[in-house]
Amino acid sequence: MQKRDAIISMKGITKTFPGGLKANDNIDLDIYQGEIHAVLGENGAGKSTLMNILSGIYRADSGEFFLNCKPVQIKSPKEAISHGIIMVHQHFRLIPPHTVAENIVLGLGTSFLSPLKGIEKSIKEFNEQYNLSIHPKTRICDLSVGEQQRVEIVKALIRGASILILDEPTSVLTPQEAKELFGILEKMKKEGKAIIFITHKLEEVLEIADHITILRKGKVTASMPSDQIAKKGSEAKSELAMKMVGREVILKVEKESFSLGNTVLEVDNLKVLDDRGIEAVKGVSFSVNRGEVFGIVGVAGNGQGPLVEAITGLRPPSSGSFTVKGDVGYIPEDRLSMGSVGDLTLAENSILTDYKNSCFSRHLLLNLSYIREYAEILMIKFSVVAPNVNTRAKQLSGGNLQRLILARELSKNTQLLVAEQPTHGLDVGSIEFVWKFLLEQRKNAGILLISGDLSEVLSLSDRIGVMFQGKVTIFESPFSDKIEEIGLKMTGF
Amino acid sequence: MEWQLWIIETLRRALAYGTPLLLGTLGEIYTERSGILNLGVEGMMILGAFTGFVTTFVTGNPWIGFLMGALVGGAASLIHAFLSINLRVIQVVSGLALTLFGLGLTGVLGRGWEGQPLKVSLEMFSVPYLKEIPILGPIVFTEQNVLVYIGIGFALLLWIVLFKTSWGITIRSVGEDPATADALGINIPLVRYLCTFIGGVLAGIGGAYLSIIYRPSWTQGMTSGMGWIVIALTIFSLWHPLMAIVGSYIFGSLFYLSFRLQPWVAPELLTIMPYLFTILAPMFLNVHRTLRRRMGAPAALGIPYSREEE
Repeated sequence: MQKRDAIISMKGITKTFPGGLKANDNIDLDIYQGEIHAVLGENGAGKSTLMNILSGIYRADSGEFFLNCKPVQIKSPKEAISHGIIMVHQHFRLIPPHTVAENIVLGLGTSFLSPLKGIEKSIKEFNEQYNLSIHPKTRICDLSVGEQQRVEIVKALIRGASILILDEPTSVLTPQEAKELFGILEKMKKEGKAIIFITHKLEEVLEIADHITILRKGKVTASMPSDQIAKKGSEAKSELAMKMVGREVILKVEKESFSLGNTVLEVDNLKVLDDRGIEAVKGVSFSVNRGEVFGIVGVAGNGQGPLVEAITGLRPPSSGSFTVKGDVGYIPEDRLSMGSVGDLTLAENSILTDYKNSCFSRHLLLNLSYIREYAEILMIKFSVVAPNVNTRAKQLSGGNLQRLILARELSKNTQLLVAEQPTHGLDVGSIEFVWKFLLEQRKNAGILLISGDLSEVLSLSDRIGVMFQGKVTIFESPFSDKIEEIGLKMTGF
Repeated sequence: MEWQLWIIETLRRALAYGTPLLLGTLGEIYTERSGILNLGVEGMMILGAFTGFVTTFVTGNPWIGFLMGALVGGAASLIHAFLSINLRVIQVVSGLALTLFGLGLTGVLGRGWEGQPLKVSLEMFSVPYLKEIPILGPIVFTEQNVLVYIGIGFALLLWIVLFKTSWGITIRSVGEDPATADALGINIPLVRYLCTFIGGVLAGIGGAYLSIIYRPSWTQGMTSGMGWIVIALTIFSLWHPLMAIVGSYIFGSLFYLSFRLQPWVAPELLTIMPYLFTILAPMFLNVHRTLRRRMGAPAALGIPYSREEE
């Protein structure tokens, strides 16, 4: 094979977000014409950040771009488009009540009086070229998700895309639609377009990609042509999976074991639909007993959200059942919008889920002085650092806010505690703190831990359920010799 | 035969009564289509009415009166545009403030002008030949003022621009999803400023119509709630310029009827009809989900846009 020049190459891209998170750390990436390049990684691995930098939405702190070996600047989406770099976002940028043609011409600078005339012809040409069936006069809200995606692709092609970035393109598609998408991508590849395909699904990558780059924690951990992997067989696949989820170690957490108590949560063949009406939880059964941590681990978007929402009563299940014994404490993933009210004081937030308790309120009135005292005690016990109990919740750092929520939920007399990504985005000190209290809470309750962080789940759990595409596979401890298997299950093998 | 003449007369007068409503509504449709909610229509109309009256009185030329009314209405709308686009204040508050500001300012400035009649106004005329058309002739082409036709002309023009041109696509997109439009290189603040300005200009002309043609004099608070009916009509017409014609004339005929039927029906009963319709229209719309999505309010109406929130 002759040596070619990359159509676009990125050198040493580094991006640190305010707050210190290094999302991209010295990343090199070469993209070639007529090639489908998969960028693979877990959620938070930095793939979306990298692509947002390439498409001009974010600015890198350092690093260079070379378009056909010439250095270029990409400072805005407009500049990226002028280089032919166009991104199809995971959430489509389409206006639902407008027609396909209206969406495509927006911002194109077509003629004033008959803006849609030429477009309808071009859409027809693309329809024939790629075997699509897009009707220019249909409204977006009448299209299926797969069709909307095709509109986005045509929108990019009409703008002259030579490098097309697809962000998690199959996450919203049915398997049939995904197959059709792959067909379209194959054709585009033959036309000489470069396609960057962002995903966390290893299997589909092997099917479609020519080259695979794996990101983990902001760094490139592997980059190779996919036929190399295919040749080596399953061993190479597992190697790849481990490079993606990491070869985790079980951290040493002091963990006394408690004797199992009664069952506090019994989930039986539970099915839950997501917002789009697609079955996101496909018949899941498990139970949680007092005295244990049951950890559900999985790459985000495999049905964990709808599962938790069903158990906490936020979303009705479509079939199956679950029984909860006693009260449920809930530590939501989004601590600012779901876990607390930013504009209320810490004292008010500390009784948010328990204000009807007779020690906090009598008849219509809140017992404010008692609530303040109670909040002060909680803050000391859970080392929440804040000026006083009248501080607003939104002024707290993530770690302090999480401690307050933890304090609130653990101080209620709950039998089941649902902790969703409880350490997401926290510093090391806060993580240890949260872990310690979660493990201690096993004395009184059963804990359902949902996390994307494999090492967290391995370290805390007594039993593990791996969630992939709406199904859960349960692993019993000890886990030390099953880590590889768990990692593979997370990526769908 | 008498009731037929009576209906024709009602409809003929409905055009005259409905024209200020039509002008205001067309403007508010544009403002809201770009995502800005301007509740200051009443204020912009009264400012237009006052300036129109004073300018016509001084210059003796009603056209200069209309021009000044339009400019002052437009200038007032820019206050709202600045507050909601640049400072991103709550648009309801800013719009209400504009209404109170307009009513208050004209109340103070207008004291000396109260009760002085305009000596010049725009003549009523009938269109030769066209007035001979049965039914349509006596309604549309007999004894009307030229602003009636200008209003209809604006409605047609603005309808074509909004639904048939690239500007229209841009305006509607900005009102539905500014983030998407922004990503495609549309200048969101510019579009919103222009549309708010159009709203102010048309409200100003509508106001000037009241003090120059409708009742050629100045009375404090002479818009008497027309600005609110415009807000109601904008919703009632489902943000569509052609529907605005229908709505404005229906409400115009109600205005006329509230005078004519006074001996039999309490006039208040008829003047509250617009508000009743306005409550019923969205209710009807909300029954059907796809209908709401297609014809409902612009999705980004009243929501400030800034790129950082991405």
